[in-house]
Amino acid sequence: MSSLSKLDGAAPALERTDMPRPPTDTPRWRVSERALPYLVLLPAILVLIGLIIPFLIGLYWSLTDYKLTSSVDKQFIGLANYQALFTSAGFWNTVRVTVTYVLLVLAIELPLGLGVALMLNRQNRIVKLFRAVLILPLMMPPVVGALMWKSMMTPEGILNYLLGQVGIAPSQWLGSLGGALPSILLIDIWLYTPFSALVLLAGLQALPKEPFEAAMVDGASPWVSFRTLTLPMLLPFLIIVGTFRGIDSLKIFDLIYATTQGGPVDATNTLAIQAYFEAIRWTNFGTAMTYSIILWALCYALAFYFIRRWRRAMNQ
Amino acid sequence: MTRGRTWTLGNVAYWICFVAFFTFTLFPLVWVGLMAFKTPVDVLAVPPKFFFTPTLDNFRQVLSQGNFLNYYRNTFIIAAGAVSLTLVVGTPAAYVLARHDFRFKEDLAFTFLSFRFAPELVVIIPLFVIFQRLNLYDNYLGLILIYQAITLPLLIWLMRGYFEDIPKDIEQAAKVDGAGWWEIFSRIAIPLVLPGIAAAAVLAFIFSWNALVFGLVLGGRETYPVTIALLGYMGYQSVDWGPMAAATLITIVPEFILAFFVLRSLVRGLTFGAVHGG
Repeated sequence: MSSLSKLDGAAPALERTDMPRPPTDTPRWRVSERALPYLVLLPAILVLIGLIIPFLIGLYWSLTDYKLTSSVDKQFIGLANYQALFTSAGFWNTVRVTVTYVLLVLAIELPLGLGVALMLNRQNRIVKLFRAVLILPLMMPPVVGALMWKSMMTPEGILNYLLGQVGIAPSQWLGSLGGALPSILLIDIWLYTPFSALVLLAGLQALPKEPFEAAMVDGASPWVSFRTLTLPMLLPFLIIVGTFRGIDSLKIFDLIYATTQGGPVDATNTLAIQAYFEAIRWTNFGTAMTYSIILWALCYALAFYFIRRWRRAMNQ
Repeated sequence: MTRGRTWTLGNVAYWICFVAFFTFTLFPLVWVGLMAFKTPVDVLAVPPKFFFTPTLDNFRQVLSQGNFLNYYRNTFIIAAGAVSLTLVVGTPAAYVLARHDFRFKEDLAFTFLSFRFAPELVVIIPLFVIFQRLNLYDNYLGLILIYQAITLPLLIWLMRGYFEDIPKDIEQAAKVDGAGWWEIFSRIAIPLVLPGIAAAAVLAFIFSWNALVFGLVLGGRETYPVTIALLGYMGYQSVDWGPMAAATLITIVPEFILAFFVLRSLVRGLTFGAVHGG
């Protein structure tokens, strides 16, 4: 490339003409048009390679009996880790907990977010102010949201007190087998319903006005125009919310680590939590990576499905 | 539509839902905000106290005892470092992805995006071993590098959209005038997307600030971020609720202020550019 800049430097003789040339203080590298994009992308691609290499190493570990604290070197054992997991009740429990969680998150946060979006889709000063309030849970660390609720979910805490005021028996919240997952779900709803509400609100505000006016002239009820106009036109936005919330709840870690760490027993033990403890607590890096790779495959499949749905929705 | 407030059934139902939802959203913030100013006795009082004599002891304790300020500084160094590196590496990349056509362009763009949706542990668990060998474990540089997994996909996808939003004519005209790639990029494109860059940088900073698992696995005593310090207030037997609440406020208030400046771009940022407006 230095020779190119030399060629460039040989040009001053021509510079005396009145050609309008913008002043430059940097040498002008003449890179071929075709190589330029790759050259500019090189640093970003290096970062990408830096992320892909550990992933590939981890993928290999999932095919070994790697245990960090073992004195024997790791052995390649093929798919034995996967086989062991597919026949273990503990693994299927993590799958059941994780999938239940994802389905509940989607089933609650999508409709609730849509409801809040419809509620905020008005031109009104109070309503506008509360749109800004919605971002507060979204901007804080999930760990903070979890700790806030944890402080309210203690046996003598404010939530049980308020329940008592309306005559409901106190709950164990995060401490009980049956209550832990719904409690975490409640925190999740608090943290992330604003996300679906804000995205769907942006969707509502982008809707064209004419179809709705036409429907009103035709005497369609609000419910009919909501079902036949609003919902179909909102589909791309619903899919985006589904993608983000679906995948983020599939790989949920922070919220559970800060509250129950998978307990009581294994009532809230998701794939990510189990992968973490396999690695960090028990140094079973082979098994930990097997859990991680399975989780990764599920995330990938879900992303693939949602992106295809999204493209189809955008083409309509 | 009639202006003003008519107390129809629908209207009453609307405001009941409105108040209910925002009570739900605001109550934890208010309650924990109050907790930060309570004495240990008031925190544990039964029935819970809404009115009490406020104290700053919790803040004093958080700021003077333990390592909270160190963790706070760690988070700042890591998040600021990660965002700076991402700006340098990612902005030109985003521009090229917006403006040039080349082979594997979309594949490359989606590979960046895929790290937003991949479970972090898939990369972090191997790095736990690799970083120890490379002396990057419990090290600012190591964490800044791995935080690229948070900041780089966001910046590239967001900035790509902002670059695509500028009309091509200006750049074409500059090219006809003989401006080189770097000149067009740095003197024409960049100034036009500055608000977008600011929004992307602020969001990337907030996401880095909020992260837990990277620091949990790859950080150590020297580099733990503030999210881990917060978890530290939960002991095995008891929880220091007051100091925890105070530390929580110190952690999130700067974020709220930052977010307020980029309010208009938040939805776009949160969806990695997929949804405009909001």
